[in-house]
Amino acid sequence: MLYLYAIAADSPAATSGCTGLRGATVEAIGEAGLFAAVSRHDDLRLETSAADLLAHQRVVERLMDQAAVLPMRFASTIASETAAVATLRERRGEFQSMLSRVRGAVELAIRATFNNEPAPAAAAEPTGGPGTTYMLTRLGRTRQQAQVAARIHQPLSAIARESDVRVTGAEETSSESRPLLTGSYLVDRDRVAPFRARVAELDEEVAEAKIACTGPWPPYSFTSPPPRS
Amino acid sequence: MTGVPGREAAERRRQVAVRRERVIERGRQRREASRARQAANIDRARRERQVTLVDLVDRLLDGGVVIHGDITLAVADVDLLYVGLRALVSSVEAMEREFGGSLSARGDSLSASAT
Repeated sequence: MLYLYAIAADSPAATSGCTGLRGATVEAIGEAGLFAAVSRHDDLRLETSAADLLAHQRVVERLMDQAAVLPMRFASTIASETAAVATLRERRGEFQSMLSRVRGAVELAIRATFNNEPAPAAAAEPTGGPGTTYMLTRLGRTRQQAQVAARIHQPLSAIARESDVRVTGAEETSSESRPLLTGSYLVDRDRVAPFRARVAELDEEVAEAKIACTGPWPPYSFTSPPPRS
Repeated sequence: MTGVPGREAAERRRQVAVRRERVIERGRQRREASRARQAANIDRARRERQVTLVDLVDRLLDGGVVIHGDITLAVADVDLLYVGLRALVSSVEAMEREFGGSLSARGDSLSASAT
């Protein structure tokens, strides 16, 4: 059985000396311009343990420093080398267009939470019953959240190549750090610093929110086939 | 005649003592402030590592290339994955002992920015 870490363009040398899951050696299989980083296992029972997740992540990170990569989802395995090579060959076009989508870019993650519970925007006119008031309050909160999220997302998406964001439901949880916006941004490598600087500014500017930024990550959120244009 | 130098000496000793007290007090305040800063830094670092870990797990379990058919996920039940995730996130510190803080060891790549 082969465990797959990533599909990468160029440079099979990137895997040399790289240790994967359970200490296995990582090797590159495939053909010029398109290969998979894999390790061989007789019997692999995976867990979502820190050790296994980090082993996967370390291999992908090592590759991403040297080549364009498509990270595989954790726990992807394939029966044999023959099957892996056949898959690479059959889907060559698809993988190559996905690789060109992410080439030269990394993923940055944004997690914005409300600083404290926002005051209900525009107090609802007490014309209806308690149900109406409740719905209007909720609507106000949803609108307010969308506005705050947009103030964070718009400047960041202007720096990024692509983005994939979720405005977290206003009714979700009532803990002290209510989630506001969760996003992945595909950012050119040379724009990572400006992106981070903008995040730091927004963290100051947008008083309602606290913004955390992690990465650079391999482009985990940008590995679906590119949207047809 | 002897009384005046005696008083002066006493006054000098008193001033020296006052200055010494001030120096000791400032030192104590600095140490306290430094301890508070350290505690805040540790707290922030812990929060950042938690965010980083959650971001990592989100991506590994929910992102990445999935090829249906030939390639199967070796972990059958995604719900079980997330049960594992909760246990994982709650054991960040245990993991850091195991890995010697390797989550933040890779410099910029796996560390959260201080925003």
